[in-house]
Parts: sequence; structure tokens; C-alpha cells
Amino acid sequence: MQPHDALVLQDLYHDYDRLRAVDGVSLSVRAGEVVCLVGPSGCGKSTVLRLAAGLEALQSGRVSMRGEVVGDPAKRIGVPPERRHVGLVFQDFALFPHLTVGDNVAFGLSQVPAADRDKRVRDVLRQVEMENYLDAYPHALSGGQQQRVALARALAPEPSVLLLDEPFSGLDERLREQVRDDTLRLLRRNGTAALLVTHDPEEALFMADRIYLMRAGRIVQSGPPQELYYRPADLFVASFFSRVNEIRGVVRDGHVEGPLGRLCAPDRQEGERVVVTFRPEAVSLAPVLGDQADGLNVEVQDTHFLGTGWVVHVLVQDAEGRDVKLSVRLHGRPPKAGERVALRVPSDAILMFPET
Amino acid sequence: MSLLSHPQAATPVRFGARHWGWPSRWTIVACGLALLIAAPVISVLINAFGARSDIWQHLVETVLSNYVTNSLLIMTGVTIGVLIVGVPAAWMTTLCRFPGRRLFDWALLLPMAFPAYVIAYAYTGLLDYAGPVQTSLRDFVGDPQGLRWLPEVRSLPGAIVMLVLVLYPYVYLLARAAFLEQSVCVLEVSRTLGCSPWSSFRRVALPLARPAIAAGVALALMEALNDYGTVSYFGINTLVTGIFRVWRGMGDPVAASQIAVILLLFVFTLLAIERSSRGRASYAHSTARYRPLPRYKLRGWAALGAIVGCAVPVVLGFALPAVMLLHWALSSPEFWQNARFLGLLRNSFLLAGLAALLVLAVAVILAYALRLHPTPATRLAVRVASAGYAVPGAVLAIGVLLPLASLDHIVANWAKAQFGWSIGLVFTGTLAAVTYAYLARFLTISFSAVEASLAKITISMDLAARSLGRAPSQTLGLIHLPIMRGTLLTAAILVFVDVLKELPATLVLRPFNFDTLATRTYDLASDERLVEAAGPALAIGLVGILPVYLLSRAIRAARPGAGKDQ
Repeated sequence: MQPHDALVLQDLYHDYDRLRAVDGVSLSVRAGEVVCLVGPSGCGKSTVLRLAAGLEALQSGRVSMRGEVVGDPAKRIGVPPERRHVGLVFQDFALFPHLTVGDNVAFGLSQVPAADRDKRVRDVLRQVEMENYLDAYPHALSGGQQQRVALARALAPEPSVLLLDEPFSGLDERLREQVRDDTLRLLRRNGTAALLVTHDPEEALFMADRIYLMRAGRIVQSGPPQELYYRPADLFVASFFSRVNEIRGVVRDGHVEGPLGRLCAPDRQEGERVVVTFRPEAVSLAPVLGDQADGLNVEVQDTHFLGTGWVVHVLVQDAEGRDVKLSVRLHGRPPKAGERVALRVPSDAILMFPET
Repeated sequence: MSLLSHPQAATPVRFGARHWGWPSRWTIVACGLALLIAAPVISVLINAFGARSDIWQHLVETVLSNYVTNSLLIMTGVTIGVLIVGVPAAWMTTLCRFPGRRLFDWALLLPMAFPAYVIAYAYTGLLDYAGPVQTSLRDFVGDPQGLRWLPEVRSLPGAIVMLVLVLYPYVYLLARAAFLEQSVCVLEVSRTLGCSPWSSFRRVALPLARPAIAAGVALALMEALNDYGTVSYFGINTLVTGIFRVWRGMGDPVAASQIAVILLLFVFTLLAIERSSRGRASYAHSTARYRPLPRYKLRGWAALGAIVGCAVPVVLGFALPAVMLLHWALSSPEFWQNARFLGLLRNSFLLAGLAALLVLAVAVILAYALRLHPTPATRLAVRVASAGYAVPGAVLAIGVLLPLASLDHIVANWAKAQFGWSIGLVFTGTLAAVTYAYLARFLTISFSAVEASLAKITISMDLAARSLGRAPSQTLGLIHLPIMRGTLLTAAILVFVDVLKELPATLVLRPFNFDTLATRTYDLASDERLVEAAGPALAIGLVGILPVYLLSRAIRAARPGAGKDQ
């Protein structure tokens, strides 16, 4: 944690009545960095954002911005939200319905002299390509336009850090991708530090320089997107970002027996129950030539067309003889149902976790 | 689901408190206001239990049982009456189709325009021995003694009828809202399971609407218990008239307070019923799907029955008394085309306007305090403050006047002893005293409107404004108040009109010689100068139409999925 990090949260704990919502969360957002706080709904991620903004009274821990402590109950510091210089963007955009687009954006610029204010409003609106809507009222705008105005309003006072709470969830799927892209470009161009809360793993992977993954009030793993995707800390992290195939097994003599053969389990204890996982797109299928199968010889159960490719289901048996259905993602033409194929999984795509 | 279970929507804002362990200023102010509003009731309780009355024993032995019995009879009669009139009317206008349905939709609210005592005067004049009905009947029959069989208006049943005619809209409104909110799916399922329209009403719609109907009856009964003008004019002894008689007539405020406590017991029982019914009403929605209502088309006799069923309460509760009053007012314009009448208007509007502004300000402060700090203390404060509508005006009158009178006494003695001044009465008989009573009684109306409107403004607005550098009080002025403009106006109008109609508290607490439309109407009617009373009475009714208009507009826009109806 550098002293000039845009936002640093240290050891935050927060209870709602007797329910622990945030359980020892620490995170940092460096200058110019886009950080995503991601997790299933109800994991406490929005509470963390509200604590950072000062919208929720901090119970324990410390919040600092640009090296200055803005919240620390132990030292009785609690800077109110209006003096923290944070920008906020909400899922419902929360544009003030009785003010025009221009007045909405100017709302946070009360400290700026009137002449500069006007220029700043136009400038920010131009950046989000909404300068022609200066005098329009929010109800006349589409969802995507409202989101852009909300973003402009939050950016206009040049906040130390921009906090975004599910900012794209209110938009329909088609529009969402475009708006995400535009938002990211704008943040990069302005060098704005941002903390984005989302429940959507794909969004986190798309937007983030770094991701913090939360579950039940705790940070489970943090790092660049690829690290979380390819080197997940546990089964929860692995299965959060995409579907994984899971095969259960037991460690015997440093190895796990299973349909994929004898896999090395060097740092597992003897007799430990483990889950062997791999992602559907890591699997390849090949035709069986004669009775020589280069890989695991399996029968195709069914195939489904997804537009961008196919998903193929095959059935295998684990070491204890239980049926396990595996998913395979293919791009080319799939085999037919009932056909026998050779299934291969590259060893570097296989991950092993203790059973939970 | 994550959109719906998003914590932002569910968790209340608790803005970063700057001082740990201390309640915020907003909470303190809210608690102070609640205490102020509860003070009259507290003072009644202290009076009732803190001192001995000389005549209480005498009252118990003689008239008290009569007061209680009459109040109970009125409650029973009003319950039956408002159910018979209100529920079928609501059912027919929401789920049936017949000529005139859209007219009745709002016209059924019109009787709310008049207070019960005004239509009581109108009917007395209409049906009295010397009134137009009896006179023309006598001329027709030709026998001056032949009409003895006609029931007497000025009687207990007569009072019940008057009260039912103006109070049934409470049941109509709430039952109507309940029928509209019931998912059509539920009704359709009951039809596919073999219910006829009638039995699906009886077995599904009515049970689902029961909590709302109970709440409506409870509200109507609170108003019935509050009534002073009708029963005192008809010479019926109820708990309210008892308070006045014992207090003003026998000069025993302690015994009057004790009667008031009995009345409060009645009223708080009703309040409990109403609140628990409302609580249950919100669970009556099993699905959230709405579609245009399939209205059953009524034909022939059924349609005629529906028209008559809806027309009778409107005619009897509004049209007939309005025509009667108009006739009197036009026949003797000298009684209202004068400076005195203008003075009445000015006084009434001044008082009502003052009260409306004050009540609105307090309602906004309370509702906003609750939004900012939904702590147990604020919640309790709001609950206490918003129970005032249940407290009858007579009880408030005694609860406000007694402490103010003793305060006056203390101040006067002190001024005399200290400076040798005779300053007279400082608090009693001032606009402040009467406005204070209105605040206690009418806060709820405006508070619930403000609270509902505030709840519609997403919390994100507050958060956005705060993150853009505005403190909570600035946010209120810059964001909430402008957005709520329309509601604030409506809330102010509702209070304004209720103040205009209020009688018992105004009678007791108004400044000396300060007449309002309501008190003047009452005085004139008490002197049997009904024709002269018509002018001010009609003015009350005319202003009373305002909230009817607002309500009818609101209910028309209220239903999700109602769409353009037939």
C-alpha cells in the first residue's frame, strides 16, 4: 500500500444488527487503476463500497483516500460523504428528475466559479457524447444515455476515486457491452481511479486491472483477472468465473485415481478427499480410431447448439464408480449423440482442490 | 434476483455519524416533536389520574353508562352502515361494468366533502315538521296529524344515518384499493376451480380484502367517536358531549378528563385494529402480476341495482343536502353577502392555512428524520406523533387547554408578583393554542403523504447528492422538496380542508370572538337559524370538494396495469 493510493481500506468489519456483513476486508485502489470488487449477491460487496464512501457509519477499520485517513472509529474520525471527494454511480443512475442534464452535472460543482462551471459541464458532457442534451430532462433519455450522464455527473468534480455500484445492471444486455467499453475508455483517458462493485464475473474480467473476489464478507482472492481465472485459490473461485467440471477423488500415495488417469497430488495429504476440476473449453474431443483411443474413451450423451459453439455432454465414472456428467465446449462440428470419442484434458488445465 | 435483492434497495441509509454514541440532531428534533404532539394526551392522563373529582362517583351512578351505551350504539350502527354502503359500492365500481360506473368511481367520494354536522342540519331542515317534505306531504294527505309515523331525524338512529352517509367513503376507498390490488390471476384461478363470479367474490376477493375493509371501518369509527356537532345538535349524550357537559357545564375538568380517558380507550382499541389490519393487508398480495380487470358486464335488473346502489349514497350524502343548503343560501343572500361572512372566510382560511403550513413542516421534518436515521428512537417518535389522528378533538381541546390555562395562571401570577403587571391570558385563546391542537390531530394525514412520497425517491438520490458535496439538510432543500412539490401541495390541502371542517377543538380553543365557518355554522344551527347557517355550511362543503377531487385523481392513476379501461 503506497501512501498515495487513491483508496485504501484496512480491516473493515461491519455488522447489520447481529449479522456480520463485512468480515475483515482490506483492499486498495492505486491512482488510475480500475479495481473490481466482485462476488455473489449478498456477499457484502456493496456494504464495502458504502463504507468507503462514508454512506454507512464505519464500525471498525480504517478508510484512507490519497494518504489521508477519512474514516477511523478508533480515532473518532468520520469525514461525512459530502467531504470525501468520491464520485458515485448507481445501478439506477439516480439522476435528479427535477433538474436538467446540465444542472445534474453541475450539481457537484458548487465550489467552482460560475464561469468555469459551465465550461466544465460542457467539457464532461462532451466526453460522454451528451453535450447536445444539456437542457434535456432525465426522463427523456434512454437508459444508456442516463448512465452516461450519471457518469459525467460523478466525474465532473474530479473525485479522488470513483465508486460504481453495479453501474451496468440496469441496462439491457446488448447495450451493456457498449457502455462498459465506453466507460472503461473514459476512465482510462481521465486516469480516474475506480472501484467497481459487480456480481457479474464477466464484467469484472472485462473491466478490471485487479479483481477482489468476495464471499460471505471476506476477500477470498485478489489479483489480476488472469491470475484469478487460471490460478484460482479454491473451488469457489474456480467455479465463480465460469462453469467447471468436477470429479471427486481420494489421495492415495500422493496420487489421485480417476477417469483422467493417475494424477499427481504432491502437496495433498494421504486419504484427503479432493475435487479435480477443469473448464469445459479446455477439453478436446477426437474421433476414436479403431479401438485405439488417444485419451479417455467416452460416449457422447447429447449435444446443444449455443450459437457461438456447441456444448457436448459426456458421461464418465469416477474412481468409486459414480456417474459424472462432463461438459465440453467445442467450436467446430460436434460428434453425434451416441458416438464414442476420445476425451483429452491438457495437464496444465487440471486443478485440484480439497473437497468442501 | 440479484437486482431485486440488491442491498441498496433494502438497507436504510445510515449516514456516517460524526459523533459516535450520540443521537443525531434529526433524531433529537423528531423525539422533541413527538413529545410535543403527545403532550395533550399525557396532560389528560395526568389530570384524570392525578386528582380527585367530586362528581365522578355521581357520574358513574347516573349518566356515564348512558354516554358509553350511546357511543357503543353509534359505533355498532356506523359499522353496519358503512359496510353495507361501502363494500358493495367498491365491488361494483371496480369489478363490474354498468352504465355510469366511471362517474360513480369518483362521485362516491363526494359525501366526504361535508362534515356530518352540516348534513345533519340540512336533513333536519328538510324533514322537520316545518320542512318542505312534511309540509308538502301534509298538503297532499290533508291531515296535519297524519304524519306522526314519520321517524324523527333528531334521534340516535338519525345520527347514525348522518354519520354513515359521510363516513362510508373510508370503507369504499380502502375496499376499492384492496379489490384493485388483488391480482386478477387469483380471481381467475378461483373461476377455473369452479367458482361463479359471486362465489369467487365471497370466497376469494372478500377474504383478501378483509384487512383493508377492517382498517376502513376503524377509521370511520374514529371519526364517528370524534363527532361532536351532530350528536350535540340531535341532543344525544355520548362520551364527547359528556366531556363538554362535565367540563364546561359542571366545571369539573378532572371528571371530564376521566371521561376522555374512557374515550381514548375506545379510540386506541380502534387504532390497534386499524394498524394491525393494515399490516396484514400488505401480505394479501400473493402475486405481483397485474392485468386489466375483467369487469363483469351487468345487464337489466342487475345493472339497475348497481346504479341505484351507487346513486343512493351519493344523492343522500351529497346531492340532496347540497341542494337544500344551496336553496337556503340563495333564498336569503343577505346572510352571506356581507362583511361578516367575508370575515368568517378570512378567519377560516387564515387558521387553516397557518395550520397546514405548520403541519406540513413538522411532517417533512419527521419523515426526513426517519429516512436519515431509522433508529428505534426515531421510529418510536414517528409512531407516537402519527397516532394523533385517533385522538378526538374534544380530548385534544381539554388536553391543550388545561395545561395552557395553568401555565397562564403561573405566568400571570409571576408577572404580577415580579413587576406588578396584569398581563392577562398569554397562551389560552390564541391562534397558537388552536393551531397546536390541529398539529396533533392532523399531522398523520400529511405525514403519511410525505412519507409515501419520500419513499418513492430512491436512496441513491440522497447518496448521489451527498457524494457531490451536499449535507443532508441541503439535500432536503435541493432534491427532496422540489421532487415532492405536488405531494406537499396535496398534503397541505388535505390538512387545510380538515381544519376548516373541524369543530370541537376549534370551538373550545379559538381566540375570543374569533368565528370560523365551522363554529359559526354550529352556533347558528344551535339557535335553530338553519337558513342562516346554510351560507357558511355550503362554503365548508365547497372547499371540501377539493380533497375529493385530489383523491379521485390519485385513485385513477393508482393501479399498475389498469391501463385504459372500458
